Amino acid sequence: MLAYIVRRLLLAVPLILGIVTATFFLVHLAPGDPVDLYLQPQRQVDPAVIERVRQERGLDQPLHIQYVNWLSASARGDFGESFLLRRPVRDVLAETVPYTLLLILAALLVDALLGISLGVVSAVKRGTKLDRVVTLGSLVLYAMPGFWLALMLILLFSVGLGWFPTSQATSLDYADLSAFGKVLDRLWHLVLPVTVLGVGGAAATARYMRSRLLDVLGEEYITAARARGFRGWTIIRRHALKNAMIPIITIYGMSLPLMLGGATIVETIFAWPGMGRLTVDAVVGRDYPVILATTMVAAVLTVLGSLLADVGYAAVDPRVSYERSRP
Amino acid sequence: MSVRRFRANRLALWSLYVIGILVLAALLAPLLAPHDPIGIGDVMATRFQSPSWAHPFGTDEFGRDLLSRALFGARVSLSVGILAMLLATTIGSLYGAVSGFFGGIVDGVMMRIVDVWIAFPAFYLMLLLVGVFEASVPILILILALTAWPATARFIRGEILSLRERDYVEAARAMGLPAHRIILRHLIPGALSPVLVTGALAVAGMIGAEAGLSFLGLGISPPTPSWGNMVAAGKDTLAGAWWISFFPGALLTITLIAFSLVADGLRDALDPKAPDQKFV
Repeated sequence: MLAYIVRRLLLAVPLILGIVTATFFLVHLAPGDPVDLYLQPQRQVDPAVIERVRQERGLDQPLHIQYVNWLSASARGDFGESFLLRRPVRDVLAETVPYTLLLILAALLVDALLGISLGVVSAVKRGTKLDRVVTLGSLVLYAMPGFWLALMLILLFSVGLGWFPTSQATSLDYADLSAFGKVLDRLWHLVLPVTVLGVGGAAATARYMRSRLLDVLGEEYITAARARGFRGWTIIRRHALKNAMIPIITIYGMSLPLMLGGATIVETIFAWPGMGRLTVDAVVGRDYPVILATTMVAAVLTVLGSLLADVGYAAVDPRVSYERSRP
Repeated sequence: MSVRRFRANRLALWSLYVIGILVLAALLAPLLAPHDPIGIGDVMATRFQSPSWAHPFGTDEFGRDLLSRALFGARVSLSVGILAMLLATTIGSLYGAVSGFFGGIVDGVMMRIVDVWIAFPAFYLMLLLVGVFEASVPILILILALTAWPATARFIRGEILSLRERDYVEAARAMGLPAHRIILRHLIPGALSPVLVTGALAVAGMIGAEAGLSFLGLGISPPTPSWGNMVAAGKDTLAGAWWISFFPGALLTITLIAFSLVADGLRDALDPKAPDQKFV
């Protein structure tokens, strides 16, 4: 098992390196000089100043030297300085990444709890009105674009009913709240963004869970269990559910990049101080050091997600052998 | 047989009609639109009008008729989605077929490239590309296709691997047909029906992605209407003028649902599952 994990980790390194390298060269394909963008607000800049900025940022060096410098600095955790914020990218990441992780983990929790239970109910009550409502409802939620769902939820629950805040991760008076009040305040701000981010995934999980469970219920060992006198829910709980849930782990590992994408939009709408909003601002402002760094973080998270999924899969399903690297 | 099964699926059939109507409306937008989608008239008199007979979807902050804008927006959203899907499917199919047909080291190298590409968090790749290249409709189509083709490639490769061992391919090879002919004439047509399913799903994915980028202000930029940037235009006046964001988003949702249902219907028609089995 340990050897398997180590091997997978070693395989992940070239993958991340490939992504990061591709990102670096894509960004430097961009027409126009980053220095121009950096100095844009002050239009008429002294050429000597431009030259100095270029030297300071190492932009006067050939591209492959820049690449090596950037890569070795990044490996040491130094991502340079943000063009827009004029602060070390590392500090900016340290502030924003936890917010994104909080959002995504909460959304995954909603995804799992809601998705699996709806999927099970829908499979067990197959063909009934309830099943049709759940199936169609999850299809609608799955297809609905997150940004529109977010706006409609804001319209209903924030503007109309005033139940939840429209933006930010904490209230203005957060610092004055008691410890318990702080937790509540955070949860209160999490409800709408997490709903938007989690509900699409939950719909997908429900659909998948339903078809998996139906497949499992058709297997012989279930018929055998029924022949031994077990009934309805006992079979589901004790025999079918565990096997049906195994592939869900893989879905989870793959859903991380989707979640990261969704988070950029959700964070932008709810003014959530996370990495996604940071990236969108950086793309608008051509803030290359930030774009490179957040893409790298996203890539690492994605690769780690699929790694965790594979390891989890191997741990749960005894049929998976650790000795094979590829199916 | 498959056609009959598809037609028996009422939801899928209705979805196909909905798509047909949307495409028709998009094509005929200049004839159908009651007002100018871009021009601005007497702003103070016409802006922020709630839905009425004169303006079924209301008017926006510049007094433009939202129904007209939505019709022209359909042109952008649908054409970007469909063209990007076609491009991605073409690139992906050819790539996957070549990789699966030759196998060995060629396959190994080609699939490692796909691995890296797929490991790239898709929306970040799009953001990156949109940031690097100024987005216009053709560029956006290219970016969406570039992001999506590896998934098709991997999928097609799997199909080709199983088709490659079939007798009719063996026969084609025995007859000495060149590789490109076997791939184009025998392998790809054989894998076409599952491609239909992924293609229909991909259109939904592409339309959604374009809308997301346009919503963030990184895709199609105003005044050219796209459903995504129309929703964005209403987000700051949500409390007073809900209709600005509501209608384009609703159309978008209907379109995405329709494409998903068609994909579902195609999948069921082409690969029928075991018969119903009642439980509990």
